[in-house]
Amino acid sequence: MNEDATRTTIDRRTMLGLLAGSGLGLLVGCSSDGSEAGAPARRLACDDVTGAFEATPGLVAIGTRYRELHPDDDPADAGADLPAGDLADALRAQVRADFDAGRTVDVDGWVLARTEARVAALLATC
Amino acid sequence: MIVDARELADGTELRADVCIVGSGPAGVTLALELQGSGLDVLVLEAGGLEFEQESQDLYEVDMTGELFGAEGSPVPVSATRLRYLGGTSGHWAGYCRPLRPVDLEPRPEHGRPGWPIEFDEIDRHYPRALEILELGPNRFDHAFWDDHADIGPTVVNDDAVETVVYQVSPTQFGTRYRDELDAAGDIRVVLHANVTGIVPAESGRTVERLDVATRTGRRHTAVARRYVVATGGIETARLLLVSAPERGGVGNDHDLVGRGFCEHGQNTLGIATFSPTVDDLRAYRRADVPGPDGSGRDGTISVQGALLLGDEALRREGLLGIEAQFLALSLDEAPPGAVSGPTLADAGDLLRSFDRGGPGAMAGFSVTAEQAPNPSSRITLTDEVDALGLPRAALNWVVSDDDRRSIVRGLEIMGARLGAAGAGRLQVTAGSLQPSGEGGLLGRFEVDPSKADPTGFHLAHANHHCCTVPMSADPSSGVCDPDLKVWGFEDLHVAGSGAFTSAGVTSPTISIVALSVRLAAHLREALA
Repeated sequence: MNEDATRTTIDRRTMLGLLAGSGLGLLVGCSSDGSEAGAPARRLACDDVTGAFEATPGLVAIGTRYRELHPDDDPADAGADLPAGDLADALRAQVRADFDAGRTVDVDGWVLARTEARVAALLATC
Repeated sequence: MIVDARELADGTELRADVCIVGSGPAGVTLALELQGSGLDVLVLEAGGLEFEQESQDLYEVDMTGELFGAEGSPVPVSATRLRYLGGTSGHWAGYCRPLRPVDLEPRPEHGRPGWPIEFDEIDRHYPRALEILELGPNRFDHAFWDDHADIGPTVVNDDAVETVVYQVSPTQFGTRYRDELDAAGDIRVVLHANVTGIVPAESGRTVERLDVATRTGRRHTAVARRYVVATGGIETARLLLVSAPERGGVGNDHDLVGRGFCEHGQNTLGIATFSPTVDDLRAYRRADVPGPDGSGRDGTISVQGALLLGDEALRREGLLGIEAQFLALSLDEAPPGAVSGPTLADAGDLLRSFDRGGPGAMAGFSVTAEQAPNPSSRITLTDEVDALGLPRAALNWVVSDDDRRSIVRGLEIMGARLGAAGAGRLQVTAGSLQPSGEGGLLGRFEVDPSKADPTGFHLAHANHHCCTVPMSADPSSGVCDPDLKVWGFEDLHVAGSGAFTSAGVTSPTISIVALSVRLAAHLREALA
């Protein structure tokens, strides 16, 4: 088999993160509150997410269902690891990083990034 | 030349250096590759030049376990095979992609043994197999075909989930190679020659003869220096089991003939919404492109991309192979309705909020999956006999919970990589995609998450009957040795997908042909 020169190579750390979850809904790679040790954990509020994203019917539907299926998760923790700067951009980057590291959740079979599910859950209740 | 067993004098003894039973891709390839070697080749084909229902009826199989066909619409096993010149290549789809090294590795957590040969033992014969199949160069990576013919970008292509490209050519061996077989001075194809038994010599280590019967009542025999049974994964096992009943079958000292039957389970097990447009996903639709250096049939090759779970994911998580083609790729037709839970349209809002935008396309994930060889998934014989007096085969196809869990996990990884690429979202619908109403292909379904069943979802068949007489490193774990010689025999070989140690996840025909090219080289040397 010939190598495909255009294929993306995933670094070892990302691969280990991706593969660490043996099933959806298993959250990995963070402390219990999602924050780095010693750093102040940021909690997202309604004003944060409604200022960054429109509460479309689709996001509200997803967020509502996520809350039903994962009642013990605190969606406000989506802000725990965010860097300073534009919130929407930071959340988009974190969504991508979640997928890259295998931090996915199961919402009726949908493979979603933990962060996007949490943002949708916040939008559903604001 | 091509002759008819019905026209030979009753009791004819057919003699040759190599006697091949079956004229499907394995048998025809072997015969063609032995042409000009100085060896006389005899091919015994049970059917005629064209389809005959009476011949086909001899293929009837009792089916238990998983049923072939769509859910609720079982397909008889006999319909998945063809019994005439060219064999099942008379109705195959033509999708070709070689096995990969990872497919040959052991996967002990699933009970999958490793192949007893190095990958190079097959790989070096793929170029010739591609010629026989009227295909192009031994390249199945997206970069090559996109450079060659601008087939379009990938949606995902990394170490965890690769985009691979199938070459597609449904070469019908009976049509394509009939004239060449007929013209060959050293190949005799005998039609309507049903082999009813392999008769071992007194020593038990060689074959004394094959018994041959026609449906018109003639009885012949065939005697050769080497015999090759190439009648497909089911019939090869059946012939070994019905032969020498006093010793429990031929090559069956360890009760392994027929065990470990593998198929490739297929079903639409996910739906996806994509940021890229339908046109940007054209690499995943079948397209005709010029064959590199004039290769292909009439200088043209059909290609189609698919997502394949990559080697790293397979090895690190100990998964079985899985690939997905995009079904009904469009944005125009009505998407599946959702009984409850988020819909494709809802997921489209995720793309608009967090990704490149869109949605630009949607599709079903048409999955093909490997299963691990399982001793209880097997071919046996029934008490009922066919028109020639041979016990019919029974197939108990078993797909384990473990096989299905591996599929679901593979889809989860595909979904995560789709999201990481910012290209879309995948819903794993294993069992929850239910037929409903009218509309486009996807619109005829609805998703009912309450019906999701990660260990019980339906898998249809792919017409790939593998691993029933598997190659192994020792007689206690398989039926034939690495040279495809039946353990315990000096002159009896098997060919075809039945000899695969495990099935991999790709369509088997190209590997069947490559292994026949390899076997021909072995026989040339052994009989020189």
